[in-house]
Amino acid sequence: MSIRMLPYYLRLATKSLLATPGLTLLTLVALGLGIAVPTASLSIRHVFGQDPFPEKSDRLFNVRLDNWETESEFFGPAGEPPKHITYQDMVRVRELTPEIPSTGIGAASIFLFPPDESLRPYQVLTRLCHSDFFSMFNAPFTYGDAWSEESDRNPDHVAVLSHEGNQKLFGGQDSVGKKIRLGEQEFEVVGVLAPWRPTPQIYDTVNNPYGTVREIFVPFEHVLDDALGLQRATSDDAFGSRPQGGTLRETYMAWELNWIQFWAELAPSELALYRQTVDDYSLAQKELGRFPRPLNNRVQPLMGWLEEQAIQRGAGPGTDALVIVSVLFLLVCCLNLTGLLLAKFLARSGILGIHRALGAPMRSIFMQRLVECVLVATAGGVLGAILAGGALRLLDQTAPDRFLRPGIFSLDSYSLVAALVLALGAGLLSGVYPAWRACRIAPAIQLKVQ
Amino acid sequence: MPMLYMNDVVKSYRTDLVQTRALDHVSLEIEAGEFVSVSGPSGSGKTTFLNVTGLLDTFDEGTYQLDGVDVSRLGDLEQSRIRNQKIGFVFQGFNLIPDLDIFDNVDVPLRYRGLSSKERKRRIDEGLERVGLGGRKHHLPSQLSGGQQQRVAIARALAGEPKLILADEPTGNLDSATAYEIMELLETVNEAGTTILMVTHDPGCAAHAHRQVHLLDGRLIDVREEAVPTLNLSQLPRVDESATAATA
Amino acid sequence: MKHSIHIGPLLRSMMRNKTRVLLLTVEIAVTVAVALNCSAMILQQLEVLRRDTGIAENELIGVEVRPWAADYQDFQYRQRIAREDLAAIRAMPGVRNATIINTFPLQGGGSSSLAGPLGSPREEWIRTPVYSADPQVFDTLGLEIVEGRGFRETDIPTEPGPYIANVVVTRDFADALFPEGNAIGQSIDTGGGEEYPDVIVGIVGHMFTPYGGGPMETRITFFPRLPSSTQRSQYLVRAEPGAVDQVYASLTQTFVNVEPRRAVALRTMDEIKAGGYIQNNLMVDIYTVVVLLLLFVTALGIFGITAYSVTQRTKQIGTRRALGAPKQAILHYFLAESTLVSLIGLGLGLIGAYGLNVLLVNHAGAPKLDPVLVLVGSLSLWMLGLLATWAPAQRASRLSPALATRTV
Repeated sequence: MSIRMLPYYLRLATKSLLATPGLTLLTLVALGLGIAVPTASLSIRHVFGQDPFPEKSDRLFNVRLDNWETESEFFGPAGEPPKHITYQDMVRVRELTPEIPSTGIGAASIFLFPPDESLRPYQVLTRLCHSDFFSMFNAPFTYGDAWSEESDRNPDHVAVLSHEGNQKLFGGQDSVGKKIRLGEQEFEVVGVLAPWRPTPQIYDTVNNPYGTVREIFVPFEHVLDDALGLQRATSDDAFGSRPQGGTLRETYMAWELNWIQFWAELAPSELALYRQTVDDYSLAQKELGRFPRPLNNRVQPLMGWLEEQAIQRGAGPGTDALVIVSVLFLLVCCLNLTGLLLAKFLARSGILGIHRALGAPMRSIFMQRLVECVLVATAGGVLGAILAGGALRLLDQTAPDRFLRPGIFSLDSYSLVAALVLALGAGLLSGVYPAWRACRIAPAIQLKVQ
Repeated sequence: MPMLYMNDVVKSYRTDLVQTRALDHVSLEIEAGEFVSVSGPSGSGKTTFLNVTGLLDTFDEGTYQLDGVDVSRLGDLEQSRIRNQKIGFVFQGFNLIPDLDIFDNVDVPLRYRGLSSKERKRRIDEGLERVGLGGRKHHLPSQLSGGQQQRVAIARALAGEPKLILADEPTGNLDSATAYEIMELLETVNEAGTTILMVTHDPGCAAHAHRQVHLLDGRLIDVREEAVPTLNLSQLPRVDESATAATA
Repeated sequence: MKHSIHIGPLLRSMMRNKTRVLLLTVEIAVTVAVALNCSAMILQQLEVLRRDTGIAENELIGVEVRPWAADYQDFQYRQRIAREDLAAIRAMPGVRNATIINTFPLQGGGSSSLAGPLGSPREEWIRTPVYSADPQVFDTLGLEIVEGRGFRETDIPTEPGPYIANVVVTRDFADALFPEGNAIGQSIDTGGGEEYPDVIVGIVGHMFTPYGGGPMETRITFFPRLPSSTQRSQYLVRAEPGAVDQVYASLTQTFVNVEPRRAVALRTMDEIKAGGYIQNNLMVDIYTVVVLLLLFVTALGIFGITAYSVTQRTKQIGTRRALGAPKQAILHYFLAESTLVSLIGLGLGLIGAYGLNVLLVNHAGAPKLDPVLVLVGSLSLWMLGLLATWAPAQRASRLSPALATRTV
């Protein structure tokens, strides 16, 4: 019966809303804001708290080794090993586990010399990584593919461009096989990525969690090429001093400079053995006089690592507070809505009384009023979604691109669903009591004022 | 079987301090097709009587059968259905719903009856023609004169083809010429077979009825049995009509 | 007294409108709780943002220079270019001073080291942000030497590698290292050991740089050096007041004139600082908007509900007027009612505020509530309630006494 009456109830609700335009506007604004604030903060939180690789986040592990000295505390959360590892440890652990896909992550800046000699060279941020990086993190290719493991070892002068990098350098064309000049050496483009915005940029949560994807990826070993002029652009921690003399390789193989994020892809069955290998390696290094502290290594699943990073940066708890505040904000708006609807229904009790006299049962009045609430809520939800979209856009524009990539905050499907659910929930929650009061209005044969 | 049968109906209002008996052992029988007027001074219990009769309010004691159905024990759903199908209301203040146009006002009881849209349209058109307002279907009540509004109200009451029309001072807000027209209209409706129970204190209106009953201090006096006592307004007990309003 | 508000009838009237009063009370309570906590968080961030850095922020431009020429592999060449750069900048009209420095202050983080008095156990060393710069750094940043001396040209090492440095530290760091106040002339160890100790030759007043929190942010050390690497040099240029734009416009050309084989990027200190304070700025923006909207919505709610209550009581008000109540009395009645509702709401809200505060302090690093803030916040909310009530109450007071006799 109710379903058949629904169109009629909608009509009555519309008439009722239009009959009190001022109040309806008041309600809509209040509710729209009530929806907008939590919607915006939920999507902000979503950006900071989402699982970027739900399909394989349980197989990606961040690996850290505690090589720190005993004389000083590592500059970071107490009890945690350094957030980065050294070049020498990365190389040796990779040698010990040749079957395990793994990659170091480093960032460096390098000069790019445009083909047109009249243009001034400019500095680009380059991602240093191993060939496994692309498959491990599901990087999508538009053209070409990742470089080979052999290219890792040599290292070959090959590069993968991000979508943005390819747009900038080659206007978006298929640039595979073309050359780019980095630090006055020629690199061949072997692959071009599709637009790819892992959020957060999990493989580099320390330096660039929410910024733009680097334009150029090159094999990690190029870091040893003195002539290339690569400059590390990551946060790093070191104790002792930089080994003097020798080649760059010799320097890096002896330097206690923690600057590389290291990731491994492990099946559940491989995890225990891998942990053992890493710990055995640390113990072996102790024999050589390194790793003076008690064993404190981490092979940490992606989400655990992200949470720890977020907490360290304050993003996690910051957005938690925002969500708590937003929920209370919505509560205030719901109370408002209840008050306004109640006032309205009671002010119009005469009309409801006539409906009752003309044969409307209580449940019908209840449903009518609830339909009105849901109608207001839906309109408020739409308004809220628009406002939230505007707020997120504004936030997106104000936030510096260097730290928060453009478009990171937007009204995505997640926010839309959130707005809709919140609106309907708020409408029903706020409407039930006024609707119940309305349906208990006695049938009347007088339109009463007072 | 009478259309309306009331026996010893009692209805009291209680406040913390006083108990007022608004209906004091009221008994009344109305046959189908009758046109009965109820009159009485302000505060005599007319409104309560009409509310109880129209299933708009409950009563404390006694029996009330409408069209052979004992209505005192029915739930809200059944009572609403009886109001919707068997009773038509005509109010003093017309009580059209201001947001709805004429057509939609007449439509209200038909909607609750769940009629098809074709059937509803037929009945509304027919009803509005009958009261001479076929051409104003999409006017809002505020755009009509008092007499026209009351005609709409009558059309609305008739559209459901009720067995009983309850009219509450149907001419109270109208000038005498219009009032006369409305009474003529009600008479026509009555002649077509619909029972009418009309509350009024206007003797002119009451004269249109076949039978007149009087209410005084919540007690019913049928003129078939007794003469109407003369009223002394200053002696009237202060039974507060707004008591019903307060519960609304 | 012409008319007075009697609490009794007011309370009884409120009891008859339980739902309305309850809704308003709870609404005000939640608003108080949320607004106070948000304000506390905003103030906490503002305090960080407004913290005196001791630096002439408004007059500084940061320059990042990245050379690609092979000549830069040579230490002496780098040093020569750095000196030429500095001389050229200082000769520019509108420039007060310039310095070459290893990292920009206020960018958030930087370079830091552990340090302690020479010979003290390393476990007792404390962390200090470290800046390496040429002798003009103090005047460029706007720091004053309060004890000892600044850097001299002779303090700058002529060869790469470790050296015995004459360092300048902030007052806070000097006091942390040498609580007796005898820091000048003391040797400290910043990792060079007995072989390469550092000697404190001067102390500057207050300086603050954001570095993840904690006391180290004001415990700063300056090393005398021309920090120019093979890949990057950074300069800070202090313009005369009002000349920042003029200097900004011609700075790049000055660098290119000295040595063209370099990329030059300029940022004002405001831009550099925005990076260091990005999270603080975001929090302040977001929470300010939330609090303002919350107050707006609550005011709307109070306004709407009061307006309807006036409509519903039209006849009652008309009757009062007919019975001789002056306009003022009606106005005061509604304002008194609003105050009473606000008071109850505030009472509940303060309990809620402290409850929410415990939650936020434990889970979100929020600050504890400050009693002054609570007082100011409560008064503001009361005023907000009165303000929102004012318009409908005014309307009520203007209702005609004739309404008393009108039935519909």
